[in-house]
Amino acid sequence: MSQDLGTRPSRPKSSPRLDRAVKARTDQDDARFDRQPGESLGRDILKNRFVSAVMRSRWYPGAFQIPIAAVFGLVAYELLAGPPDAHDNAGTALMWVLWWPLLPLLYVLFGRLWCAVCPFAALSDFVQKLVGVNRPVPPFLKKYGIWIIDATFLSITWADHVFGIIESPWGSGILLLLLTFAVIVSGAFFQRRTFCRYLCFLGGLSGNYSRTGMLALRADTEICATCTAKAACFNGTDTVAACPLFSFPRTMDSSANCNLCANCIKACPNDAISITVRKPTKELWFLRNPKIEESFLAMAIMGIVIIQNVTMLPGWADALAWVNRTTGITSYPVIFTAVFAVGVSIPVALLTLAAKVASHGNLENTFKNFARFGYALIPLDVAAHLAHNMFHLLAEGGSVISTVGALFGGKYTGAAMLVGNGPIQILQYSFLTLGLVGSLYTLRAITHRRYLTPTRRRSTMLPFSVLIGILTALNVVIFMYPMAHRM
Amino acid sequence: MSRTEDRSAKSNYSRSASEALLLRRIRAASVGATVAGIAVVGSLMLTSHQEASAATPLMVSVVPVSVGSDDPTPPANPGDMPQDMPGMDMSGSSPAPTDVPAMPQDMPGMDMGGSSPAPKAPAQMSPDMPGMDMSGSSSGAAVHRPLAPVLGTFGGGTAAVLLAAGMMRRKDLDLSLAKKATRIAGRAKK
Repeated sequence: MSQDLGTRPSRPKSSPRLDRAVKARTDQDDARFDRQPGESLGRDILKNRFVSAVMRSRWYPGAFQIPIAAVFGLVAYELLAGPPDAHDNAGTALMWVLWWPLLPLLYVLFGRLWCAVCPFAALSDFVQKLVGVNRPVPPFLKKYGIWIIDATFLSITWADHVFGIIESPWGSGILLLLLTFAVIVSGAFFQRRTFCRYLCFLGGLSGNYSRTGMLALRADTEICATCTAKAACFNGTDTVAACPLFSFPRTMDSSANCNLCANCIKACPNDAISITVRKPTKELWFLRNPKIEESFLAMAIMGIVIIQNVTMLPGWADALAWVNRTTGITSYPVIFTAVFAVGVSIPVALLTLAAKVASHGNLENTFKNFARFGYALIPLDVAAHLAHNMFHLLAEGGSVISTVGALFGGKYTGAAMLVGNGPIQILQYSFLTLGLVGSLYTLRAITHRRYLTPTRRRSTMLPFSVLIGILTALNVVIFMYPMAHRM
Repeated sequence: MSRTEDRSAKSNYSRSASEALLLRRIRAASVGATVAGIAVVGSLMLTSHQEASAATPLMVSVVPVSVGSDDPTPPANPGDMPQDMPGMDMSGSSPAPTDVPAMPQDMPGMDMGGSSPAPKAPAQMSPDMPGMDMSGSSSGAAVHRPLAPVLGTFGGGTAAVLLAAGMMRRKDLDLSLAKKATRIAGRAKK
């Protein structure tokens, strides 16, 4: 870090004296990211007898995986062979109206716990036991995995709009089959859960969102220093499987790659693992190795949420007609691709601009600013995503009751809207307010831990605060308008 | 008491009889809940399927084949139809519809002359624009679902992957056994 700053080519007035001063200052700053000796990890929920018994049980997480896999099978069957109209299809309702909207909420509350009980993970484990070759993860995947996840996420969103995946049960069914096939290939040839760690687009999303989560699994490094068990928490034992997401609790400082499967808890002979409850977004305040691809994913998701919202607004059809009249382009895929590219680029471009402005004052280059402070926007990102998803859950939730009820012979005569537009908007604005506060606080925390001088802090805080304000205002305006229903 | 001692005390506790009892209860409860859930869901699904299959023949027998289709030809044997079915009286004996004098001729939507042109998409409108299909046909991915070829491709691909992985695993196993044998043979020579 300090070497990068010292050899920075874009600063012509650099002198050995200034470099030494910068080096000394950043080294001091870096030290502030370390946890101080004796600093409490937080309240350990494994001290609760019930939680401890559940996490240490050999039935965990299998006892949850079995019923979830059964529901997943039902969803897949309905999507492929059920009613062709999304409005009547229980698979579509369960997948896109119930599960998808609740997912970000689960990430915020419990981190990547969903990944521990995900049916795809269970399938991968099963295939591995059956025919697994257990080849090591290719270096290519380790290096570019998150970029692949970024590209997959954008492709799926684009394909949804162009081919109508959500509106078509058949399209959703094909998507599930493709994912299933990818999981089978990964499970058959590669170690552990390579797909979940390096390829799953939901894994990328959950990795980012779980940083704001309230649960953190960590090891007591003082006990680990005396451990003679040859990293049983990472490699597993004769009776307990290895960490599926290739995380080593002793050095772990992020929840992005921990799915709380409890393998390390069961394998650790010293009981050095604890699961602590922490303040939401706290992990983002202490990030030591920010990655540009993760910041990019956060911005891409922000763009995706904005586009999803815009396409559901009443003015979207008028905008299409206007583009049609102005440019003469009649193909929807062409128009949408252009809108999509612009929509995703806007948050990325704004973050780049803010990073460029901040780099003039905080002595770090644009890329480092982009990587580091992109994380500060994750709380707002999660909030906007949740606000969007709450509309689907509450305005279309009745379709889950009606379609699943119809599956079992019942009849639901109520409306699809579970609550009115007013309460939904209040909820949406509450989420956005929390996101705004979370992002501003995270920005402040990162800035104050990173920089000591008020000048550097101010010159960093200002551009990124403006960016957070612009993105919040954009979301506030979008959520003011009534949205079209999918179901 | 230090943290390490705390941990060891907890470790001892984890092996205690009360925790084992709790674990047994959790196991029994989870297995019981899963079995009960499967039983309830399965019976509900079976019941609803039976109801649906019992209702289907009745519906097919009552609704004529051409209802709802674009085919303007009348049913081949109108005599088979129930006489009291609403709107299905084709005998001609009922009173013929007469003009209602009070009804204004220019009432919106009441033009029965058939002279007005049918709505059609403007020339500049893209036919593949979502929600803009005015052809009346319901073709598309939602209706046309080639299940057999898709499942066949998926199943075939999966089988090929599993087979290839199985063969590679066998080969790896053979290689490791051969290495082991060589090592043992080398030791025996010494």
